[in-house]
Amino acid sequence: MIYNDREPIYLQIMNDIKYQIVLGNLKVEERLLSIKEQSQHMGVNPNTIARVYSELEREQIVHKEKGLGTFVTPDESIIMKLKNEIAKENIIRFVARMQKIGICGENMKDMLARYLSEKHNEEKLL
Amino acid sequence: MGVILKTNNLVKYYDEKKALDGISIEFETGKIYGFLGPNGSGKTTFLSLCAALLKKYEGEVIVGGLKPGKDTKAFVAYLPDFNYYPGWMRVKDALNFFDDFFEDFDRVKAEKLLADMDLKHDEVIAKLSKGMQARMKLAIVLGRKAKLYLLDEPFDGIDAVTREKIIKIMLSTFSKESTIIVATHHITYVEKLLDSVKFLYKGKVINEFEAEDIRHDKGMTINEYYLEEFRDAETD
Repeated sequence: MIYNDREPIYLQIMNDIKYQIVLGNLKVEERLLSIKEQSQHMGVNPNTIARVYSELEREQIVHKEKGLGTFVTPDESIIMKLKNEIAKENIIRFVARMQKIGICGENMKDMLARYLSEKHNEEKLL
Repeated sequence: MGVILKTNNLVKYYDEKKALDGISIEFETGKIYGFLGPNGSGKTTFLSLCAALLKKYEGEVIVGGLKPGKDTKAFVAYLPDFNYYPGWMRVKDALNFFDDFFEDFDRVKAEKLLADMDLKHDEVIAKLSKGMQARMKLAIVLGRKAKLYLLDEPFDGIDAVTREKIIKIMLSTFSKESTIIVATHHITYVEKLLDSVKFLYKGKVINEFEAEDIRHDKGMTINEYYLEEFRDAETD
């Protein structure tokens, strides 16, 4: 993981863990590395990792089992919600960039639709 | 959380020159601190006083409830920024020396750290490269199970690979029951390592903050914030 030292490290790690869950690299009910292991693995202060885990727990994305560790939620609906959040962030970013170069509303929708159908046709040929 | 180190209006003179000019600060147990400032700001003087290497001062220093001295040396591990091993010493002699001298020395751990750092017991310390000497000094000091680690410029003369190793070793040594204070001007190396930061300038503490707060509130790296604060500061 590459960090941006201008943004809080705990937020970056939180977002990365959420992303790994949505990608399926971290599975439902999988145990996360312990705070100490994660800290050494990432080269990050353990207090920062502890903050990440408690924030994720507050958001019900992980849960702690006393003496056993921290686990990804078994609740698929929470993971679905995460996926939607990440999708929305991507859309916001995409729309903002298009608007910046003066492409708005229907125009943007048309261009996106055209791109998707072209891509679809190319993939069919392969 | 307890306070492991506290100073009250600490003043230190070298002849006429005021090296520390009324420092009152606290360091809590379970945190990693960056003690940052340009050359000549008093970092080394401050750490040597807390490590009981310098005796004369005005004001108050309390380390683990005690005045710095023989008793505090038992739980304070100090990494000076100079080479303090005599020329004849081999790595294993340094191990034996620390083993004899410090009750909190964990020989098994120290040997593991040395092996991680690719250091062999038979090597003569003075003949090691600068980077290997830095690795060795740090492995031996972090081999202690101390309450307080005072590390003066642990990254001097060190390449990128060694730096990563050193950071991992620091993190493996650190626990909720210990405190690490890192004095350094290599700020970019320690951005992700620090809980809290204290800026020192001309013998005074001019700023104290939490590392994440600067990123959150100002959108700046610690290094950028440092440069902004010290832009006009003279360095030597």
